[in-house]
Amino acid sequence: MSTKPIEEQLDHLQPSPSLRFYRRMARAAWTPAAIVRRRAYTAVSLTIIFAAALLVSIPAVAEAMQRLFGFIPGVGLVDRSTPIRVLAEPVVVTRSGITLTVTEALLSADKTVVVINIKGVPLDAYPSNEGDPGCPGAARLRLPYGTLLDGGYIGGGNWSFFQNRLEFGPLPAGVDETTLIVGCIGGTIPGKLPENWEISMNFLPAPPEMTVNPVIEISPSLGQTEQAGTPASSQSLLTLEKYVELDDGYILIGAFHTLNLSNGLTVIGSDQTGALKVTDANGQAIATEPAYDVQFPISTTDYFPWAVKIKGKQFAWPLTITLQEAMVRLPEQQIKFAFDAGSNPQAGQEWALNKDVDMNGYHARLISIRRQADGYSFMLQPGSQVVSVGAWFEGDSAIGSGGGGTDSQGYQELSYTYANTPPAGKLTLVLSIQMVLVSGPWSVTWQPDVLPSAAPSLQATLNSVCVVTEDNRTRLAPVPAKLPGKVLLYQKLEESGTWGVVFANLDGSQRQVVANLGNWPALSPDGTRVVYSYDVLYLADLQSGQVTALPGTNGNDYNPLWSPDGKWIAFINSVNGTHISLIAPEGTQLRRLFDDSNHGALAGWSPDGAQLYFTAPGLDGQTLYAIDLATGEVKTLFVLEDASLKAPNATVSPDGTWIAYRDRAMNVYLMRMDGTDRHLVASGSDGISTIVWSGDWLGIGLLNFNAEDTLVLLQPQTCQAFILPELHGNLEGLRLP
Amino acid sequence: MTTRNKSIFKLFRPFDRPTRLSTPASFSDFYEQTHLPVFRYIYGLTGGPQEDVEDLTAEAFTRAWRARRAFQGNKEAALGWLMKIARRLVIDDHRRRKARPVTEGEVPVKFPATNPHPEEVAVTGEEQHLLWSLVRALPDEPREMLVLRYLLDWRVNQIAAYLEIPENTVSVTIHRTLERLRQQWPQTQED
Repeated sequence: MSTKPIEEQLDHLQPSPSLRFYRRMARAAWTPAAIVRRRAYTAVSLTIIFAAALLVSIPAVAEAMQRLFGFIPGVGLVDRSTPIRVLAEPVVVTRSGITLTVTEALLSADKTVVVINIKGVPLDAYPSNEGDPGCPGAARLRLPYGTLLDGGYIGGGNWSFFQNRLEFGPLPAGVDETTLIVGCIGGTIPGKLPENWEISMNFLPAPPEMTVNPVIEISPSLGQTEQAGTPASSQSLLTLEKYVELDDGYILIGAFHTLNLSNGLTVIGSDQTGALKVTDANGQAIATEPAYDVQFPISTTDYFPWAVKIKGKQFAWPLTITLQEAMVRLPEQQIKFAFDAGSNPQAGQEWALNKDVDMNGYHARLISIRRQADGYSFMLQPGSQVVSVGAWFEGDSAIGSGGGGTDSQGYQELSYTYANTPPAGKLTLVLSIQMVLVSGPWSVTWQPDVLPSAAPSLQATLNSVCVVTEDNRTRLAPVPAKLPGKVLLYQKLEESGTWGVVFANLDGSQRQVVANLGNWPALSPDGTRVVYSYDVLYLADLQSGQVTALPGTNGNDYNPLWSPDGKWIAFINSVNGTHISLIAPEGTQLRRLFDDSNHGALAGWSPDGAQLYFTAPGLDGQTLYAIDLATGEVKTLFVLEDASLKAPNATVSPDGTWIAYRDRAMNVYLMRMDGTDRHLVASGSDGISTIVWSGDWLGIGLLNFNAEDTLVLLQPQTCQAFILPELHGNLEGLRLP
Repeated sequence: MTTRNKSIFKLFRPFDRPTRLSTPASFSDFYEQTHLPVFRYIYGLTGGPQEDVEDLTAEAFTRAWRARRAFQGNKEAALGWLMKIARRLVIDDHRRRKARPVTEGEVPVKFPATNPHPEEVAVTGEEQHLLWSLVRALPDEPREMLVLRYLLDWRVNQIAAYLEIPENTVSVTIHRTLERLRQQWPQTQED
């Protein structure tokens, strides 16, 4: 038997669906016939584009573009050819503990948008069988004379509280009141909750101060083709059609036209990010984010709309928007050959075929077929730009398939295995070129008609510097070499291969392994000791290296947090329920503070050590609570708006004035401890690992799925930010001078 | 230490943008991106056979398609939602099987194709067979954690978030389960 570690052996268990499965799924309701892809996972490393998932069908867009459009943050593009109306006042309806609140509505010449918050849906109202769709959740508008407008949906997955944005067709100009009708809340068990909700809404002309940013049409659209590349790419086009100037940046709206990726070719992609890059006149990358507010017509085979938000206004103009490459799926097309395997083919037998396949201007070659003990393998040579080739026997019944990746010599091997005897005799061989890569770059260069004034507004400066984004974090300066400071990290240890705790300088020097196995480390306020969890809590003395288990902790204790004076450690015990507890570092005076059935997490201490903060999911969202240590009383403070339900990573600043937390979309927000002034400080497109404080500095771990995590230091008040390039893993503690 | 290079999270770019599943195009993309991890997840939970896993995978997507309008969240949440549908199906299927007697040998055990790159295939068919049988014999919860950790290559914090249990519990359980597998794994004759 192999001596390889068991983890590595587990790593090699990689079952894959059979050809039959892919054929079956190709007929599924959502799958257009053209998307048959037998080797669906061959092309995974290629970058690609376009927000099919975000596209909403709005008919007759070309015509609509001729009208006067405006952009309203949160609403999107609106037709301003008639006066815009808004909700006169919020409307609240409560029945059986469930509250529906219409918070906003906006009526324009082309649509009616209603924003509604739902709170208090009990979790047991959702079917226990999660495949059961439950109530349909349709929402409609009833106009005064009885006409119904369809198109809304109310439902929130399995959440207790959620927000829905409903979009309907336009209301006639004279209609200033309407009723929102909700049959039942989507996804819940029919009959379990109040049904047939009716919510009356009144509308007023929009107040003059309402911001409608003009959409500036660029006519004719900017666009050019820059590279000959393949014949297909030379006639494709990236265009910029309009832009919107915001207080803190711009939204650019354009399209990728695949002029002759003709006849049903489909640009593959599921995400708007990643492929479009914006650079300034010096070639420096500019921070962008997808403009979710902008809604598009659904993409067609030759028109892929895009929209990006550029953060900031002070750039070396003009800017260049570039699309590097596009992966396209060819229309389903097959070439068939007769193949005679003979009546009794033997394992190891090989047939050299050298069959050429030419499809839509792309080339591939089937080099050979080899008989294996339990099936066949096909050796293929995809031509230039070809990403994936399919090859199989017509009507076969293979139960497993493998391969598909292209090796370093440019060959691709596909193999099929059969439950019983593999087919023999006269067979029909099917070949198909399925996906190809079309290289750009396609680019377009732009600057606004009126350049922003050189003196940036305070707001623009804050937003462009104070928010760490995926793009600008790569341009942050490394932390100054001589800055003294210490970090506590949870990382995979090269020495032992285990995940443990490390203490080091900001530049990675003086690295000290605190624990080979352990998690949830916390640094004492004086920086001399670390408490961490590994079943029980351990206390490590950083000077002597001595580690002792804390007497009195047991079973499953985690999330330790030192009090500001270092005299107490708060932690969570999760044996027989979840309990927030307190213990002295000597392992004495164990005290259970609160039985928290909601699996909360500790968030910090007040500076005087009198209050311990924790977060737990409540009916209105992730909620911050405070335990008064003198009285034991637990107070509800406020809801952390839009915080991640599962891992908010909330943490209170040492001076007790701010709380930082992670939202559901992997951003880090700051809020004052009275629940006000919520603002974004970092967005991590691949995720946020940890958030820690030291003084008024924040340390944030930004996940990168394709690389090591990026650790960032940020001073939100002064907008200084640095990266810690020498450090990896989860940032669990920070001690700056 | 070999480089881990097959994380499902690496199969596609950012996982955390708000997503919609309601249109055929968006659901189709979602299917393409997630069918492999969902298939492997079900394979890991049930241990096969291949046909049943494929049936359950197809059924999970069909149910998700029917319920797609009820979904809101980012792609990570979407995958979690789908996997919970899949898990529920596996449990229901298991109950049905228990309710009706299965004849010995009725279920053919066919192990699936291995890692596509031959140079990386360091485990023989015999070893895979043994490993699957050990994994199948594990209690449900540790088996699920192991499947998420190694077949799907999730991080401990992702597993904890998905299973809604503390990270510490996940890492301790995985650690102990690996120890158990190590003890059951035949030792080489060399020492």
